[in-house]
Amino acid sequence: MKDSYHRDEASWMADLAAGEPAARSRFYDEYQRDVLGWCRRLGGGIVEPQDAAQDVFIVAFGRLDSFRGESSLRTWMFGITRRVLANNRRKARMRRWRETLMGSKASLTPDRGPGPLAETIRSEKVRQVHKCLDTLSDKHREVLVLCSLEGRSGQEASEILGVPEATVYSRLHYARAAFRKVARRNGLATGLGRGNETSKQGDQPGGRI
Amino acid sequence: MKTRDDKSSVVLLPATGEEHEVLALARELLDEQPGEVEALRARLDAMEQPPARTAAPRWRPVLVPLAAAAAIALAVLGVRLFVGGGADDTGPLPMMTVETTVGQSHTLEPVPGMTVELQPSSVLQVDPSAASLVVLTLDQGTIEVDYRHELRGPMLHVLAGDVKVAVTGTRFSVTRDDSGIAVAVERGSVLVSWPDGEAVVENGGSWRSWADQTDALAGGSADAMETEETAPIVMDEEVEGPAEAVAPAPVEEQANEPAVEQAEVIEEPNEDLARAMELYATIQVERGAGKPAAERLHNLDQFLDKYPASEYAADILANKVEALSDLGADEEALTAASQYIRQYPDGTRRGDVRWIEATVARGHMQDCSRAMPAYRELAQTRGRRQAQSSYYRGVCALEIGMPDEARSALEAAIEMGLNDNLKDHAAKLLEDL
Repeated sequence: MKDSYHRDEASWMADLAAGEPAARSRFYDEYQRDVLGWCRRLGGGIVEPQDAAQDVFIVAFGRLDSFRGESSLRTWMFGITRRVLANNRRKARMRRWRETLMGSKASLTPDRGPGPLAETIRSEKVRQVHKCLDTLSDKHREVLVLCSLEGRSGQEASEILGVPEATVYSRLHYARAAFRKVARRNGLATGLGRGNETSKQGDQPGGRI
Repeated sequence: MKTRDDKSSVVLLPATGEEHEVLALARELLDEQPGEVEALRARLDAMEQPPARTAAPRWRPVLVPLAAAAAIALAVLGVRLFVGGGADDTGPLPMMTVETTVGQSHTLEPVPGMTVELQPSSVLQVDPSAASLVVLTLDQGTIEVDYRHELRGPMLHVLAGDVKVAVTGTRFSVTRDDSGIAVAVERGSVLVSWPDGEAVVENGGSWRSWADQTDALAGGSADAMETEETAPIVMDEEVEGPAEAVAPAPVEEQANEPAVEQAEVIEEPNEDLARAMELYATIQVERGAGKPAAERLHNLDQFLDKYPASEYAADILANKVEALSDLGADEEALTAASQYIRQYPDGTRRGDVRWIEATVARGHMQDCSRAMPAYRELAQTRGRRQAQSSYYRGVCALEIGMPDEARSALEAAIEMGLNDNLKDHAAKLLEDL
């Protein structure tokens, strides 16, 4: 998860603004996976991740001059993603509503068609996970996604979110508890392993918190 | 919970096996799908130039008769139209049409505080030539309107032939296609009226009109809808929380319900409601225009006297609390606030009222004891005032000698993301504690 924190982001931005192909390519390399992941996990299942991620890059290019280097580039990109997702989620809600009103068969979650039963079950579970995530506050959802689902360290999450590391841990504590509670209510948690036993570290990929 | 000492790679493990289980499931379900990064990269690489944020739509000046009756018109009635003033000094702007093509959207701001977003394949005529009246005529497609008129003043009307939709500060969409017209309200409320009736569509509700339900389901024409019997359907939704949690019944089911029964409910003319709406509009306009509180109180009291059972009464009472506070009538403001909380315990303005109540008690009257209940409630309520309320809860708790509550409230305030100035002060207070 090493990234550009130690790079000369200002000169990189200048190259980007000048339309340097190499700089753009590097920009994509650096952030495409992160942005797409954020869009997928924070989009509530109603935003098409590819579209949203593309929007994020479009907005980023349009605002290169607003990057002052006061935060890391990753923090800046996360901020843009957060705003783009909020906007896209609002649009998606209205679109669904409208389509329902107008008799469209379009559904909120991507229609995977009459695939195998396993795929249908998976789609339903994905929907349930998004539903559970959406019950959390924005702050808790973000920290849960960054730390528990993306496996970032507390320090990384702290830099991305622009909050003290201690705040990350505090939020994460509450976020996980809330997520567990709502997951149980929605039938995601089967109850297996319930209790106070702690998982072995090997169960968690490195850096997950 | 276990932690490792190395700060850069602290590992906090789930406290329970169940927690681990659900997080692992979520991680797996929301993990990267094969080929999706490559697909995104292909799209990004296809963008030849660093693109502008939104593609410019095609604009062309046209002459549009105001009585374009076959279209939906959005009429933004200016402040003076409601308060009886004259024309604005601003010169007229040219009439124009904006079109979006497939896959293209565009956002307009016809008046400050109002955004109109054209969805793909929409055609909208913009007529801002009258100083106090802006007419937007939707020929086809969909517009999404976000209008916080309570902050600005002017009311908003949607006209569809003989059908009118009066809007009272809202986010909503209007769609027109071959099957008819649909209005969906995401926030606020609208009054839909037509020659034989009217209906209020609340937050989360929607309204649908067909020329003929059978024809419409089969693709009936919109023109017929505007000239023949309209069979409106009001679908009331009680929405709590995000809109996606609400799944309105499929339109076919709605259409199969006895439309006559629903129409009977909403076709009865309601002159009282219309008058209440008009007075309500005037009040909101006066508020937006910054009319002095003492002058605003007259209409507020008049509304509460005449329409105590109106659905707008709660909002008006909240406005009265605000006006009394502005006026410096502190005791009266607190009395009105108590009345609001008692009468409308679940009112949408409860947070505003509690905030004013706390501010008046603490700020104007220096009475922290009276402010505390409101701050306690606000500090427990998620929203923009939560952190600040928690901070003031801490300050007030200190003031009235409750150090434990002060400490926890101040710590919570910092955790919630207090602004820098208050954060520094909260930290200092905590040190002193």
